[in-house]
Amino acid sequence: MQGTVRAYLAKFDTPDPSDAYQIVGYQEYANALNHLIPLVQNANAEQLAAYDEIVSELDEFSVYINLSRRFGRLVGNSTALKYRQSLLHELPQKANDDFRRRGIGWVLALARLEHGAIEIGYQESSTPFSLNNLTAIERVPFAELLLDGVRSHYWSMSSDPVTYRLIKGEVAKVSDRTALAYGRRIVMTQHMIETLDKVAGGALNGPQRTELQAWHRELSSVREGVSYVMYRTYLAAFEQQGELVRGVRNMKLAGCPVLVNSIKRDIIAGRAQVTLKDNK
Amino acid sequence: MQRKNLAIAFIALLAFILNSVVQGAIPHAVKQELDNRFIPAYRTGKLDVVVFSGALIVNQVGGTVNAEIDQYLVSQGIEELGTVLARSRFSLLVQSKEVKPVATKKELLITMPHFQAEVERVINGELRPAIMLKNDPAINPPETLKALESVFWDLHVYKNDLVNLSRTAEMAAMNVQLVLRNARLSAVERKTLSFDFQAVQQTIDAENERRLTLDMALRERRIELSLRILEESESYKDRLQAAFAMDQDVQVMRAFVEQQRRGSFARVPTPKLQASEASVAVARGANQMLFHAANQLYTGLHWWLRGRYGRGIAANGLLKGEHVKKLPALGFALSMPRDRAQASDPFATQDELASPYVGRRHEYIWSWENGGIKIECEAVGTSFFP
Repeated sequence: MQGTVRAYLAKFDTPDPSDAYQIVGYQEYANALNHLIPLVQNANAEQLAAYDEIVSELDEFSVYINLSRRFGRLVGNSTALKYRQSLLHELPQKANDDFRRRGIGWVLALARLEHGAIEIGYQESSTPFSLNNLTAIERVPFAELLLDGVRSHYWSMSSDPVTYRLIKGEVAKVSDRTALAYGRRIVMTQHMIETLDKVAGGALNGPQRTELQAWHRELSSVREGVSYVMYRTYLAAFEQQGELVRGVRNMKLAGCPVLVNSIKRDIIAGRAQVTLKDNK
Repeated sequence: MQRKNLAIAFIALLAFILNSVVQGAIPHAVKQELDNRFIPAYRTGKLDVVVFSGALIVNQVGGTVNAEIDQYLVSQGIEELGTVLARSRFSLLVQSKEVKPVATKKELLITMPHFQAEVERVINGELRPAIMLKNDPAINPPETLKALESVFWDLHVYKNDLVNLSRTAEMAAMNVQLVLRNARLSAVERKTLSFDFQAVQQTIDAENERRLTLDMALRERRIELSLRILEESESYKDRLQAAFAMDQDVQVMRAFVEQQRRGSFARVPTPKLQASEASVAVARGANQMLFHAANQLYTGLHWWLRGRYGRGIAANGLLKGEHVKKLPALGFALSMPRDRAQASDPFATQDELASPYVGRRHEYIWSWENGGIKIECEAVGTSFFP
């Protein structure tokens, strides 16, 4: 009698770091930071004031902040109350604050945020925001931009049906590519929260920190959904082999490096998130 | 009374029929193409789709239908089809994008008038910066670094306009020649397409020479002003700007003189490069840290602007295209705003007019999924169980 040998062997290709170069802003902000950070680090008070004045006078270097407030109009009924009760909104700093900010600190902070976000999503980097060279003049702007970014991603995902499909593990309704993309977004947002905690955790009050921690946990549950979808996709690929005597030679899984690494670990260990879902 | 009622009914019927004829003049398929592809693409700035769809429409219709389409587009707040098509092709060319499909005779016939109008604007001096409109600008040049910087920016924009117009003229001339040789044309059509591209090129060259003459003269003046600021001013900010300005001017002059050595722009007076270089070298030697800081600052800001406002060729400007993976240096080419970039309040501006075009790149780029799951299978052997 002829039987079937199932030889499962999963090998993973590493993500291609050169993908990041395709993203507008990656090289540009890196070059900007490479020039401006040493300049600011080596500047005395007079020089720093001059840089700040030059940048502030040029309109194109203005940075509008608190962009996340647009979600106040967009969040659905289920999240509207949660949005209203959030303690993490940005408040105007003066009457008729147009949330327009100027200065070298804002310029540096925006470049650091945008470049770091691409690093998280597409590169293997243990320090995507390079906090080791965070300058004093950009510390507050960077924290504000980080929190604004976190709010935008969080409220956007809160009103996105795909998020709930991932949490429920509805494999049939979410493709592996969509799951990976959302996974990248979650990894990026969680990393922003963790960085915010390092940079400005002390400036947040207790209830604000508690809310941020809750957001981080919620994002983790969506991330588990991403792993689950990927694992089911992996199993479905085996099942498609049917009765054929075949095995898997290679499995290529590419995407956000941090996310892919965690999925790989789960799959190689043969557990993924199935155990978690079965336990529910 | 009955006769009056009949007359009114007849007039109403006639009006209805006329209205139906006008409304029905645009074939259903063309109307669908306009509504479903051309107009949405135009409104969202997808120029490649605009060109594809517009060319499809132009090649399907003719005669009075073109006028009906133009009327319909105008009623939608959009310019005439020929203008939109010409401008879209022009913009794509400027961005060094491949423009498909190649313009046909029908398309050239409706886009050529627009192109001629653009050339007229150059000939009439409509695009000329204010400084070039003065009789002898060298006599009363701007007197501050800030004012000079603004003038150089205007001259830079004008240079880009001329370069782009020249490239478009070249492309248009090639297409027109092809059509004139190979297509059957009526006398009117032949007249529309018989456009003196050589004269256009000469006009553009003459404008460029005028621009360069002024540019070089003003750079010599800015170097003088900058040297004076370095000697007299104690303000670090002013000195920094002066150092950067003279450094930049010497570089630009050097590149221009090199072009002249190769035979270009012979009619433009050669700037006093050696004298300027010598003066700037002395100033640099005496202020090395200042020059280094100026270079760091303005180079850093230059890159920041490209990161903030630059557009790539894919994913609505967010990506540069796969060719960059082979050679990252290819990614330096980005499409930048024609005029000085402005930061606009995203809550007070419509999305399509927003500047920069995305508030934060990180809000969008996560959705570019470069990975996925791919499983390769092969036979690994069989087993027999007794």
